Amino acid sequence: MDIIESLRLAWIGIVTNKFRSFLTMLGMIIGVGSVIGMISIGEAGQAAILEQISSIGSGTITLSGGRGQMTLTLDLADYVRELCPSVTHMYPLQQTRMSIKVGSTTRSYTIIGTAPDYAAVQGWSPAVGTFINQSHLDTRMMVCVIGETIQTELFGGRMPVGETLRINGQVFEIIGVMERKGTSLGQSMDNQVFIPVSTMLRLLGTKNVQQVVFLAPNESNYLAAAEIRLALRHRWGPAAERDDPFRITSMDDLLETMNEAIGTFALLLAGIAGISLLVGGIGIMNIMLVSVTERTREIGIRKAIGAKRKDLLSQFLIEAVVISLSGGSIGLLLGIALSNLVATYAGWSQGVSPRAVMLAITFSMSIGLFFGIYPANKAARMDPIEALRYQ
Amino acid sequence: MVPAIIELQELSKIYTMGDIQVHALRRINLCIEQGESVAIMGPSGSGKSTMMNMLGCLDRPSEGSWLLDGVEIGKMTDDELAEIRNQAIGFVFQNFNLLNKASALTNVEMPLMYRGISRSKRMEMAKEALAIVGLQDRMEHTPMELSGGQQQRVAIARALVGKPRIILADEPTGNLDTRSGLEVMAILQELNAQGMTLIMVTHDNNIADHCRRIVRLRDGRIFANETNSNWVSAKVTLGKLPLVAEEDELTGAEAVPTPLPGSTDLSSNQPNTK
Repeated sequence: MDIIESLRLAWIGIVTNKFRSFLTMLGMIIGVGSVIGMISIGEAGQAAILEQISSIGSGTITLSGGRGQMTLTLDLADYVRELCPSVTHMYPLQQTRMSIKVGSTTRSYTIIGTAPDYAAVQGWSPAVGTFINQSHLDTRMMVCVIGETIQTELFGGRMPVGETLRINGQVFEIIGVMERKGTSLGQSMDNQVFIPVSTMLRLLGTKNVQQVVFLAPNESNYLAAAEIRLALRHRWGPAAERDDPFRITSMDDLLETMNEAIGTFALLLAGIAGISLLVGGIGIMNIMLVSVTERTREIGIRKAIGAKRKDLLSQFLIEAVVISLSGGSIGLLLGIALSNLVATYAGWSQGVSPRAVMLAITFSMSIGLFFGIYPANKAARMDPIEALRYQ
Repeated sequence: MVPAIIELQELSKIYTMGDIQVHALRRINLCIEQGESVAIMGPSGSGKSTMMNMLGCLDRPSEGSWLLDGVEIGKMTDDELAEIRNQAIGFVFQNFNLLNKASALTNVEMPLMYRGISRSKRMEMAKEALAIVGLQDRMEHTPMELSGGQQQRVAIARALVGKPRIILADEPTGNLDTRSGLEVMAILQELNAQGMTLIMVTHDNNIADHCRRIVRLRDGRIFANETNSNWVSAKVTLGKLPLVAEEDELTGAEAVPTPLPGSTDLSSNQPNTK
């Protein structure tokens, strides 16, 4: 008896008990569907988040903190940059919310005090006008570059370059409007106002900067961070070594940490989905056992007329595999639909993970084999005399 | 002299049930030749069923030797026995033992499937077999759509489709009314006349009389093994039955109450002589 015959028999066995076969398949459908859905959603989400993070700046190192006399100032940032050969770009970041007034409208926006390198490192420049330049910085000029949303909200979409607005009552000249950037990590990038950091520090009446970002594109993040640390120690000597008041975060580290965290989360989801696959498999074994018992007489008849062990083994095994594979295929379609739906809704570029599809097919087949082998073996080993007597 | 197809020598079967040993068959010696028709009779508990299982290669003897065509059966593996059952033996059971959800054709072609014969060839052979038992018009019916007599004829078609040398029938008429029973017996006798060895297990003397030889078992031993002097032809008996319920085969279960005549003349039929 060849494989085609076994498949035919398995198919007959399945269609004779349509409803029960469907119920058995349901376990596999849900299991495979959720595994594919979860893995795909996990992977696509991971890819999307990583893409966003790396767009903020891969290869950047952020310096923040400071305590006591060891504070983070613009002078310190310049000092570090001088001492670190691998650093090519540097910009401070000072962020706060302030109210902005245009005409009679007042709204609150995020104001970012930074330097010309910001535009270079972020690869983000004004669509109209110019970004902050070094002379703005040096002379603490009252100029600002606004986001596209602000252009819409405060100027009704008209070109505002050359006009003025008031930040905390101070008059600033608008020198540029940034390109539209969209959201990053769930935050809109287009409702920010950029001003020279020196101007901002004076506005706030402080010398301390929240963050300084260094870019060292030609050196590994690890080495560049070490260079910066060394420069800080050089500045303060042993005091800085004893209690390091600064925090040095490299974007690559962050990327890796995020990657791991999201990966773990995705794995957890897939694990839960995997359990449902396992439950589906147990369902198959359960039904196959019932089926073997219910068809004891059939097994007896087949044995009496000359079916060998392997004939019955393959009949029931293939039946189990066909059930789990059909369930798996339907689950596959369901999973693809689910992950495409989520990907579309969330605006991710990646839909179904091909890895998940492979995994699901392999899994559903092996589950059929694994959970089918015991019932099939039970059928194959039945004593024909006992089986024929079974009512 | 025709060679012996079945030869049992000092064959015993002992079942162990807990601490008790049950001797189902004790030192049986039996020789059956190709083309014979033999009825194995005995009250319940006499070892009839064990004998049936033994001859059907469904079971192995505990002691002694069981030779089929000179080949020892007793030491064969399960799969080797399955092959013997498939090739050499055709079974007919009291309760038909058909697959109820499969068509008559599917039921009949099943033994050939395990022989590795192609599907088209199987269909052809199964159709032939069904024609032999007169069911060429009912091939797509499932057993549930057939009368008892028709079901048993499907079973006979299944038994004969592989052209076995032995037909082994276990109370083949036990669940049938008189007419259907006789029809079944007539087919079996016809197959026997064509050369198949017919072995029948029954407790009914009237049925046993359709065989040329009767072997009587009691307490697991053969106590009589003799030529049947009252042999009857089922075809002849059938011809003498009043024509009642002839028109309705499907509901043929409402039996013809006519009892079987005890004995009839043998001359009108061509008996299969030893």
